[in-house]
Amino acid sequence: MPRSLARSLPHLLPLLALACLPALPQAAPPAATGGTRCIAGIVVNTVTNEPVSRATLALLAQKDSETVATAESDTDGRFALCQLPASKFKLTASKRGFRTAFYDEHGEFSTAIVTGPGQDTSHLAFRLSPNAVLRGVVTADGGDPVEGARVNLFLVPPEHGRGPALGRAPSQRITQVDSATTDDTGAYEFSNLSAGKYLLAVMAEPWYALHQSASQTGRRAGRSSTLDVAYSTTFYDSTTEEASATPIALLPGGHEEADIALHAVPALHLVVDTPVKQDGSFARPELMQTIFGIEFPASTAAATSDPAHSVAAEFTGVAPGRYELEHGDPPRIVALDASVSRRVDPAEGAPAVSISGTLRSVTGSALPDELSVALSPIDGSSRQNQVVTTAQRGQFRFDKVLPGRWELSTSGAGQSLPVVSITSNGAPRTGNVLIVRDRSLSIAAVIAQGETRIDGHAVKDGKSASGAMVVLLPKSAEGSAGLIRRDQADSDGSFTFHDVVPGQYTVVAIEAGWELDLTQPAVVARFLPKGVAVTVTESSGKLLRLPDPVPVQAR
Amino acid sequence: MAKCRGNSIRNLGRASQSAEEGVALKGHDFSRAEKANKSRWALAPEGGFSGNSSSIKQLFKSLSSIVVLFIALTSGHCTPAPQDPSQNDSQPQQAVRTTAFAPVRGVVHNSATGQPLPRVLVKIEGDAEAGALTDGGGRFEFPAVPVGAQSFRLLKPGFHDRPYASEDVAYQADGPARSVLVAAMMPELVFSLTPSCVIYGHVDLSTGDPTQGMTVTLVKRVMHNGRAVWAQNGTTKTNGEGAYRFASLPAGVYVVFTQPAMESEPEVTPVVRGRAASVARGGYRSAFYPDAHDFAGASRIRLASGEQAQANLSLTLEAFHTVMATAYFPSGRPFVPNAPSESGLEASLQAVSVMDASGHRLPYTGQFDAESHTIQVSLPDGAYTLMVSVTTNDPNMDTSGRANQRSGGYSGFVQFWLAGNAAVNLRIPLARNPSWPVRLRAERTSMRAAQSAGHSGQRLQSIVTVSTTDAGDLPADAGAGSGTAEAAGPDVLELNGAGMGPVWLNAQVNDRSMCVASFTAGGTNLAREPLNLSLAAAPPAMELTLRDDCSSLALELPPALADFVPGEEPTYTVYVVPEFDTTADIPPIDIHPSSGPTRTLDGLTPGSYHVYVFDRPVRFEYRNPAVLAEFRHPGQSVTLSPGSTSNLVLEAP
Repeated sequence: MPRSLARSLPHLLPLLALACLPALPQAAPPAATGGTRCIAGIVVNTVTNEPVSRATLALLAQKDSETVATAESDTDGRFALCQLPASKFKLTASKRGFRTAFYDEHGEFSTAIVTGPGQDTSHLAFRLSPNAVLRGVVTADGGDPVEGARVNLFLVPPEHGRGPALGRAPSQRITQVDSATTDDTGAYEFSNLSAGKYLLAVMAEPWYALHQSASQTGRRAGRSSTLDVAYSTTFYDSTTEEASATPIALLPGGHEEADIALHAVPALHLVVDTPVKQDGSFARPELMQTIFGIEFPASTAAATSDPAHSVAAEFTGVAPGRYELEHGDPPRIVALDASVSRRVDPAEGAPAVSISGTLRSVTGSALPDELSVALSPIDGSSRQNQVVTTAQRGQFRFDKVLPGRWELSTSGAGQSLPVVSITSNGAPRTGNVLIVRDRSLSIAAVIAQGETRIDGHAVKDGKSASGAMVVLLPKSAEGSAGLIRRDQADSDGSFTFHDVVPGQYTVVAIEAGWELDLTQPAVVARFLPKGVAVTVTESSGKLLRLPDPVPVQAR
Repeated sequence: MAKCRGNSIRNLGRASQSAEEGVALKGHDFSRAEKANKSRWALAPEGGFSGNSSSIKQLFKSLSSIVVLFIALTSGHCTPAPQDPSQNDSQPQQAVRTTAFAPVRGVVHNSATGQPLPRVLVKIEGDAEAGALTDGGGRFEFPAVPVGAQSFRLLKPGFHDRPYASEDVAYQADGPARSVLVAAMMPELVFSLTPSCVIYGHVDLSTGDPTQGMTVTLVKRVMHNGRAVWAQNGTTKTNGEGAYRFASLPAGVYVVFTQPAMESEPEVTPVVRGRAASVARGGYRSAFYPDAHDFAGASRIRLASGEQAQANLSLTLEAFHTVMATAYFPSGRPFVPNAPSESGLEASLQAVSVMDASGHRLPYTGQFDAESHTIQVSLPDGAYTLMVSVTTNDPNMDTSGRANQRSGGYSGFVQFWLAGNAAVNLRIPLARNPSWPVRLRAERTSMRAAQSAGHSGQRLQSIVTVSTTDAGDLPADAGAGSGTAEAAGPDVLELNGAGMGPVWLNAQVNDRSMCVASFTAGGTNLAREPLNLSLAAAPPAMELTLRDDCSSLALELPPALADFVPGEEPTYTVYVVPEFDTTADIPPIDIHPSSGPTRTLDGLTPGSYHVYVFDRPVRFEYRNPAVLAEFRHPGQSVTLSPGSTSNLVLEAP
């Protein structure tokens, strides 16, 4: 049943008008045969609005992600996947030079395509973005190219920096997306990037650096140490201060250049006295550096002497800066602001502590007898590992937790139960972040036990609103970031929220609302009046269908 | 201060005493000399000194100046020393107490231009570790280096230090460290660095689409066991503009080609389970610079030091067709991974390889489709062999060893053409992996054998290592073509894991009292001709014969070369090349005077040898008579009679 393009895909009209493409309603899909269900349309370059020929399209079943059908777009960018059952599919397109994407992809969300009676799936416009490229040259003092420098690339999420730093959802944190090594001309390149805001951090070692251990240099006093140098981690635009790092904005298919100059400074030596255990082993200290909240190893220690009782492990080639040193067993953490070479005493730093606590459901309902409780390091550490324990009747305890920022999560019976608030030292705090300092803690955590799925339908001008962003907002904004749910409406306007906790909510649908920070009541307030209220109770059951469609609002 | 001087005097006494004994220098500086067999400058505990008179004179000349310097330096170094050593135990003075120092100065040049090179890192390795950068005039200076033989290395991005004239397969670009005899009044050191090469280029697509992420492979002609082979030197990917670059290459002969690629490389499989044949995909087959489709047609890019070469490639989009094949065990049961198969053993897919019509492996990869139980690969038009190998494991393997014989591999192949169509019903018959026995024989003729008559001696298979090297003129695949032999009963080795096609066999004898007499397959001498291995037919019976009347050869530097001359020592590379065909390999020997002028090779097969001496690090194709014939110097001839030790004083190169 043909429907006009203007009605089924209203948001594509401006694009198609610009592109001066042949009008789609007149052009029958190439392989469509009468009576069979097809998913068909055209692949379009988001930047030039030109059709993309010979792109590979793969159709995956929504339920198990098995490939169901594949096709290649023709010279006009058209494709058709036919003889399909009535079902829900994910469609992906790829082509050399473009970002492989799902249909109407926004980060973790995309629009699934629903086939069946009354669904027009033959006039899709699949917008594919060319790779964005970020390149540059890393140089040292005097303009010499730096070969072998490690260029780390970080992505700044759109919501970053607007909400409070603590309690941010994982999707709001800066993540490392790639790294590259400079060639002999100092050049690096990231050539398959999506649009977004990026940060760069360069780690390198002067090629001529010679780091003799303190004991060696001591033995030959008076030896010149002009070659005992290091580069501090350097950010674009050539600053060693993380706070001064300049983000680089990349448009789809955009090309940006970011050159970075390094400056060699005298290297520090950090000697860590480490007791040797009875079996002759000792805990190798680790020196870590935190960059944009992510931990990187800074230098590797070499044990320089091993008398019977202690080992002097030495970090050489360390650039001045802030580090975290883990040493000893049980481990201790030292926050070092290193500006001179020094010796670290075995007693220095904060020791690992224990954390005991209780769990309680947000509704006061009974919790399962056994729950798995996990503490995960927030700073993406390789040093700190996730620790897991079991809560028996709501009681749990972790031993040997290192100071730092942790996320508390719980799960039971194959279901994740988000922690919505933690009371520590009598002070309740919203969210699941736990800050551990140098003292053992006794905490009380409140968890949301959600079992209800909410199904709904988004509409715009009376028609299914394919691709709209739909959000489930808790009525009381207080302490509820963990309760917010998001989805993207599928081609038939349908959307689903999983694991919803009993409570009062408003469902709002926003067109192109992907960059809104929904944890901010001020941002949300504007959309609430046109939202659809829904109350989930203990008796709501496993599935709650919204009786009324949710109207899509302009951003 | 006073205490310090006392120490110096005591040490000085010791040093002088050593000098009188004809022992050069005290301490660890001559650690390499210590290791040497018959060092002319052996240390005091070994006592003896057997050098010729000219070196002795030289030596004493050097020593007298060292002693003078020793006084100057030790006192100099003591000046800043604290009065009470206990206050400064982190700066022990032992090094100063026992070692003499000398200043070392020098200059570094660019070997290609002769110009001085600034900012070269001159590094002294080992206990005397130190480093200095050359100044604008290429000059460097170490105020005090422990006297004796020191290892120097030179580093600068874009340069190699004394690269091998031709590399070994281990891709060692820099030659061995330079050995410098540090002494007082030593002459200024003159070093040179060799600029490295670059191969760069651009990959274009026939579609005009941007070329990004195409894999480009670089292979290089290198030496392996005296034969020239092609080996992979590196891979890179084209950047967003289709450009690639291989830098820091030593001089040599290279070939550049692209790996095959599909036009789109999605993260999900674009193949519907069980319906691979329905997928039409475009792709680019390998292109060899400048415009060939195979290695034979590729240009050899010859680069002299410091040269850059541009190698652009154009790729043409072609239809890739789906190939689907089912592998069958001898019982007729189809191969399914991780399902009980032959003899109830669990089978898994080990490798799928695609070869061209002449048996050369192509860089395509296959996958197993669980729905259709077929092995699938996407290929452009052409003639191919698809080879599959499967491993079987007994999940209930016991420790008796019987299980070992039950488990094992199967392989099989199918040959086919593609001309505009998919090939979907191929059958691959699997057969037990072939393994070929090598019979070992010992000819015991010497007195030693007579003495131990009646005693069967060591199992021969425990002292022999047989390995294979691809003999084809193609880059060897990593992991393939390097078959090894395992013990398979008394005095029998079993060769397996070798690739198909011609291979060279190499026999290494670990017991130096035994050496290779002959290695044959049927009537073929395996030292002269490679062995042709194929899945279709077993090779003729192989027999490796060892003998126990092996010879030794003591190589000695001529007096003129063995002299102790302060400054950089020459390093001589010595090749001992048999004049007869043998599968045994004699690796080249690097000799420099301070490492001991005599080196003895044992376990040599009796016969005539040619000995070649080079005054630079070199690796060459010594098994190639044409290469040997090109040498102006014919080398020295030496004939080793059975069971004897011969001495050879090397001629100056």
